[in-house]
Amino acid sequence: MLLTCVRMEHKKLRHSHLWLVFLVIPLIPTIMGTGNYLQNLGLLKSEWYSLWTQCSLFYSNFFYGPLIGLYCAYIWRVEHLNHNWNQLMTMPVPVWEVFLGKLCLALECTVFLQLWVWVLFYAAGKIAGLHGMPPFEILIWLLRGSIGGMGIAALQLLLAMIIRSFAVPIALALLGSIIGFLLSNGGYGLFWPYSLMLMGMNANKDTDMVGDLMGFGISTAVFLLLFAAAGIWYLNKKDITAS
Amino acid sequence: MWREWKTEWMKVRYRKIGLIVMAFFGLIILWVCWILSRNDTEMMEDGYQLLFMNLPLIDTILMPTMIAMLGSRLCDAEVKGDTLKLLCTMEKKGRLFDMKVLTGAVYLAVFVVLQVVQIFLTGRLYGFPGTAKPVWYVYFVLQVYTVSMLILLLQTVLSFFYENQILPLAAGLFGSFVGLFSWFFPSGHPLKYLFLWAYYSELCFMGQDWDRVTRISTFYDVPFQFPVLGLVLMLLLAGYLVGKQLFLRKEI
Repeated sequence: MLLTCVRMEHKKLRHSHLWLVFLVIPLIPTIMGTGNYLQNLGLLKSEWYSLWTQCSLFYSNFFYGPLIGLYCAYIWRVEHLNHNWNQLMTMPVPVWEVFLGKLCLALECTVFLQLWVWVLFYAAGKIAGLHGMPPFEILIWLLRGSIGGMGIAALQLLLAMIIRSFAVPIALALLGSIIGFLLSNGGYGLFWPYSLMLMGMNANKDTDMVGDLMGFGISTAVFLLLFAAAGIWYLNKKDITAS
Repeated sequence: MWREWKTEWMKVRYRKIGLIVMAFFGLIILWVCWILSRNDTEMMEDGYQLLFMNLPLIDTILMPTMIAMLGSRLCDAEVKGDTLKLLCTMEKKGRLFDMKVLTGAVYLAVFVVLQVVQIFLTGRLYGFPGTAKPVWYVYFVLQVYTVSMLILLLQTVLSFFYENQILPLAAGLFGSFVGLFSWFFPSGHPLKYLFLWAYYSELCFMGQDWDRVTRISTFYDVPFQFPVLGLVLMLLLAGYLVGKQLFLRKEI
């Protein structure tokens, strides 16, 4: 049933302009980062790693969170419109599967986004004249960023479900990301979901930011379970209002 | 006109727009405190310059997305509720557009005034030596408010035109990126004139030299770019006329 839910969610996203956002927005930090790298070649000598510090700087600190927020807001938007809530809640499907179906889709979007960022990063490296392939470690960092992003996806889904506006959850994601940036600089990253993604991605660092992989994993799992459980509880307990 | 103005405020009642705007302002306070906590006492000598340099940069990152949210939220009643056809039979179509922009302008004005108060109070609380030149406050308001109004016009038009609010919000995120990118270009670079969001950096009236060896930043005044301000005002007027015309022609 869960797989059917995921398939249905896929159908709901058809003909949306989500792909446009997916393709275009990550282009800008890549261009910015590559430009910055080329201007500071005298200082940045670790080749692919240096390019990574520049490309990941703005993308992960400020924009990955709002992009996840945008996906999640869109996933719920279809339910907020045209009385679809009524239909959704009368389907013979347990609500936890409805929520997890949407969560799976959000996670899928974030993983594909990271892979697209890797493709852009590779192209940028080639344009910048770097030899060979990027270190495999960077792909791991990107995917680890998606794992860090899982807690954000669950939280954003919860927010987008409760807040009926499309724009507000995205604005909250930007606020959360910036607080995450400040907290991770202060060493409190493990306690804030929005910091986990930039720690996982090793944003603006060429050495590993996640010293304690166990702590990172536990923190991500706790946030993911907490927000997913809150979302399912909310769907179970609260009366829905269809506009 | 007074009746339409009042109606507009009734529409945004309970929409908590002010709360979100205040959340952004709260974040700016936090961010500024964080910046000041990282600087030593020597840097506090130039505390006001530091603020007038950093606040527009923070605004460049935050405001495009905040304004996209504001525009989308203001137009929600018409777009989501599909009430345009109903409203346009009761009030002039152009007036509706004016009221939307004016309502957004009030929120932005409050936001900018709060930032001015923040600069003043931060200076007092952190004990910055001397006082900021009054003209800096004027330049700051001109810099942030005029560019934000330009972005608000764009976002209002986008929010009215696309029922699917992905595009207006994506435009906001795109704007934040491009605006941030623009700070890396030298003043007067042609690319800075191409994007609305880049005018925040182009109108910056404070410069900064960072010595790599001593790691000390020195601030200096940059003459305010009145021709660029003139261009922004012209774009604002043109944007208003074009936006209104587009709205008048919109099939409902």
